[in-house]
Amino acid sequence: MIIEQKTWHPRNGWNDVSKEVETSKANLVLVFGPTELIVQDSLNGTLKELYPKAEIISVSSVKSILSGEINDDLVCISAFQFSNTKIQALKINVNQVKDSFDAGAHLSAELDKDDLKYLMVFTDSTHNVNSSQLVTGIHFNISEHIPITGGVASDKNMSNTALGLNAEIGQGNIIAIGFSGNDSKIGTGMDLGWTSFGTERFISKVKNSTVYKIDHLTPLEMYTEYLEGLVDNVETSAQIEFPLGIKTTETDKRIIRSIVSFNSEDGSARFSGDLTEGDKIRILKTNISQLIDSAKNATRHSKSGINNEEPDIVFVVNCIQRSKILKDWTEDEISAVNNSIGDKRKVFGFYSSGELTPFHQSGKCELQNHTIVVTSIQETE
Amino acid sequence: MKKGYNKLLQRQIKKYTEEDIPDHMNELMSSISQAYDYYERDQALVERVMDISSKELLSANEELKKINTEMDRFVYSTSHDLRAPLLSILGLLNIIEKENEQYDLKGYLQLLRDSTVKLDRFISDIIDYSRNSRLEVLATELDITELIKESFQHLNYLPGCSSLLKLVNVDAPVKYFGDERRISIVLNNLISNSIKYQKKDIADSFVNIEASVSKDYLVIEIEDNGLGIDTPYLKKIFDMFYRANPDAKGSGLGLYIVQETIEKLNGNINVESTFGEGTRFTVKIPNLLKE
Repeated sequence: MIIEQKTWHPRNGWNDVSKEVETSKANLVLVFGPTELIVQDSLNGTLKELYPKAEIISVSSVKSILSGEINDDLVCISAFQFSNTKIQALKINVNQVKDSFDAGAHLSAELDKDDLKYLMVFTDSTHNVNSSQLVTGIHFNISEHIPITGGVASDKNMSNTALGLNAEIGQGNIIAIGFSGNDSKIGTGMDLGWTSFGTERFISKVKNSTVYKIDHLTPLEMYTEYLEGLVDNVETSAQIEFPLGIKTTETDKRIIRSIVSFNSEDGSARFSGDLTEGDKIRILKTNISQLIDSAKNATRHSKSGINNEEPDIVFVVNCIQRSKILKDWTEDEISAVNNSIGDKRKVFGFYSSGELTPFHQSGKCELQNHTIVVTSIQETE
Repeated sequence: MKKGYNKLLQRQIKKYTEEDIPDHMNELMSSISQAYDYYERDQALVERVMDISSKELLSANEELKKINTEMDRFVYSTSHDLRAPLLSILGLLNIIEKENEQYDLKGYLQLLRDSTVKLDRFISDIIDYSRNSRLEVLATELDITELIKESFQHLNYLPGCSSLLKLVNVDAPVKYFGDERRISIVLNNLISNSIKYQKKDIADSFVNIEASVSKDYLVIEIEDNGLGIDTPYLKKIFDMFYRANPDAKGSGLGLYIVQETIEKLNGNINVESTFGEGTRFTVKIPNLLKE
């Protein structure tokens, strides 16, 4: 597999980071960057000219990772030339179907599943997309043995995310990329980097992603009980630093759900994904060392999926909320990935507002938050 | 020194140097200061979590102790009350086996039947109690007149039911939504008490049921001119296994179940009684119409 990496900015123009692909032969291009830039016609026109045979996927992202470096205000472009892997890119808009589950089921039904090795998914958290229901829909037609990873688009102003396929960029889009063929190997890895504290509690009243009661308390009452007086603002701090971890039956790892907003009138909280009545939850906390270590662990798990051989490319989906805790240490988290891979030029990806990943190498894909997901891809020639 | 550094860090800096921190070190010092802040906050958080958990544990423990005491009492009383009619059945069977001349077989069979019925009623009460504590409240549209009628039909086997004057008046200008099974349990228990504790020496025993439905509540008054309850016992009648009347043949669970059931329905019950003159129960249960 050959990679070419570029950045683009309307003022500074194009900048080649690495140039190896015979551009006309590239079959997949991933474009990450601020929404207002990735939608620009001049960018998309040039991309089409540069990579005429490629499926070009554009995803909003506050920060993007290219060649192992974090970029804030640039569009980051990675072009790939797969020799023996068939790439299928599909797009669906949630508003064209009944709901997010239906969108997922449609995508996975349309996909040619012969020799399917891996599915990369990009989704929108705003504009009526419910990503937990989306992945359940995708699994409706795809076995849990096929690893699925990906993430939810992010933007400084979260209501302004956009995704697109081949310059058709808009809101409410969901993109799935199938990788098929016997020559590709995939390793996925995730590590939460969060530990739980406090009593195990039950979700007692919930509607989709809005939780009204945890045991006999409202979410706001519960967070206030634990955090009041210890943080400047309970609501803001809970959103960034103290997500909920849902206990799962099949693994000791928890599904993380971050708080999108509190309703101060009734004390309810809207989370970034669905919860179910009866879910067992604890509050989670982390620190800088744990987050950096988890990036290293996720990379290690991901490499073990390809028998610890050298990956050709390493796709990183990292939650934007982690960078709000890491602050000065944000780059060190990606350095931990780079160091575990060896060649940082292979590392690319984006900062998301939700991550899609199985707990292990395969298994049901779940929507996570506050997580780093590393996917190692290798194509034998 | 730059203000805003963690207090302990400020002291440490002062201890080692009199000089100001140079500007180029500020970023490093801010980062160290933040680490101190986080460390102190995490310590406080751990203490808070332990406090909350300890309180929760204590309260769960109290609750368990209460349940355990109730359970002990329940098991003791239940086994006692279950065994009494069984022993009576066994005794009667012994007599029947030993009697050579079976001249009163029918009389013995009647006694056997009485004991068996008593046993059955007691077990039904236990089932009602258990159902009430376990099942969720289920709201459906109810016809209160029909429920009262069904209750009388259900209790028709009780001695004294047919001779009792039954007055029923239901005022239902709006629909009532409630839990049918639970409201039936309340009606059956209260009406059966009016039937059981009639005065033997009068001919005009009555039970008067007045029910009214509003958009917020169902209010039922059940009044009789029966034996009545003496004031000192009035407070205890809702206790588990309490029998105000020494001759009472019930399980001692009836009014306890009524109170538990009404509590589950977020309602309340009041009793007024004059010993020797009669009793009036007033039950108020929310109308679940709007939900």
